[in-house]
Amino acid sequence: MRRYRLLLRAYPPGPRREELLDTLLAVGRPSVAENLDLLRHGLRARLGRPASRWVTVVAVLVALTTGYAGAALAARATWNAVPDFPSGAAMAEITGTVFPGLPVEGDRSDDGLFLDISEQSFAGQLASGRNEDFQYVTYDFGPAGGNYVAGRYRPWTDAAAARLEAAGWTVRDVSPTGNTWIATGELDESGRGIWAIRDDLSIEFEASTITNTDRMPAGSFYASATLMRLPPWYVTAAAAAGMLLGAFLGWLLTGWVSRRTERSATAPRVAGHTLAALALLVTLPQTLFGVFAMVVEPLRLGTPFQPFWGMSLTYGYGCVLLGLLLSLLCVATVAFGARPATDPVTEPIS
Amino acid sequence: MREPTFWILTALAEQARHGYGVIQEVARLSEGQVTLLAGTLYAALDRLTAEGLVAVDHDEVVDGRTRRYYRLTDYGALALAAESERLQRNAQTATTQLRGRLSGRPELGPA
Repeated sequence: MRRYRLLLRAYPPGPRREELLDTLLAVGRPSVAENLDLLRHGLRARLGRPASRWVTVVAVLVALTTGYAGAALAARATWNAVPDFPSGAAMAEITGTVFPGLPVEGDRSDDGLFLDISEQSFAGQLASGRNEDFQYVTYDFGPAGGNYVAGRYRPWTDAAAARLEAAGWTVRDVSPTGNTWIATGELDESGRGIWAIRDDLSIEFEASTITNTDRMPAGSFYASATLMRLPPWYVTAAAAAGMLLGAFLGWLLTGWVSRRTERSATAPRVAGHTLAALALLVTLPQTLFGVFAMVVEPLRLGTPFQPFWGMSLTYGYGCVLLGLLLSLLCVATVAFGARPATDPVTEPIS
Repeated sequence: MREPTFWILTALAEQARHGYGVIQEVARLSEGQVTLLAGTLYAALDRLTAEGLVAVDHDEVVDGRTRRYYRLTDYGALALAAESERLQRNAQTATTQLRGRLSGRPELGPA
């Protein structure tokens, strides 16, 4: 009976739980199918409006939005625990593998975890929203004295890729870089880019014969490298857990609003629904884009990559604040304005 | 109308029943071919109540737990009768077609 009571908590509070318990005890067949059936229909019952299909569609969209928010916030929170860039001998081993025998200069792009290039004030962010000039902090390095390497870039990049492989890196991509002829779309190769990963680090560097200065010594090429931190397994796990928790809470919230307005007076019902619709309208595009990027990017790259998909939310980009404000107004309207009437199905007969 | 809905309405056609009563009656009427799960049954009862096909009849307290009885409404009886006629027509059509096949009449090709 205890197991049934636990399972019946999937249903909203009310006499339906006792009614179901009575039936289940009479049936006496606690099969897996029965349990899954109760879970499924219990979560549906949480939404109220049993004859409506739209309420399920709305609940799925809200759950997707709150699930995305949960994933983004969890990934952002756990990113604080990601180990910092290597230092000392460990960093020297990396820079020495890329640029052996050369004095190397390097620095972090910023002190914190993220870099906001535009450096807006908080008031400015509230007024206009953040722009897209934000990124995860990187460690950039290259040969001292201007990032110039003597020799030809092709044999040098071949040797660099081999050195990285020998040092335990996995070279994921070596591709030509340069300008593209507009007429033909053909690439006019003037350099090469390399991408390699090892443990939770990613390195990208480019060797190119094109520079914007005339100080490059003859017979040399320009080379610079960027080191990035990749999310360890626990960031991905936290994002997945945050997604599930957020989606679950969004589902419950939708059910609460739906059941509370199901038989309430017209004014709070219309106001609550309008606010909820507007909140979904302004947040859904960002949610869909973020979820798409969250799922597709790791598949495309073949590795969990820096969770850029979450920054549009955690950095307040887009309509996050407006969506949050509309959602809070909706909850307040329903909490204080809507008084649910007696439900003929789930309430005792008077 | 889905099959579980049809059987639930059929089980309630004669008299008001509680949840377990509906499950038992559906199993009996369908000769054991349809076994309703409790979650499915109450989801259907909620939906049918909202649509006006079924109504709450009365409550009964058994062993300290409330047992709720449901009955078929007049509108529900009409809907069940319409569905029953539709199924009969379908069955009749299939029977006629099969009779033609058995009597050796040439079969019609695809349209």
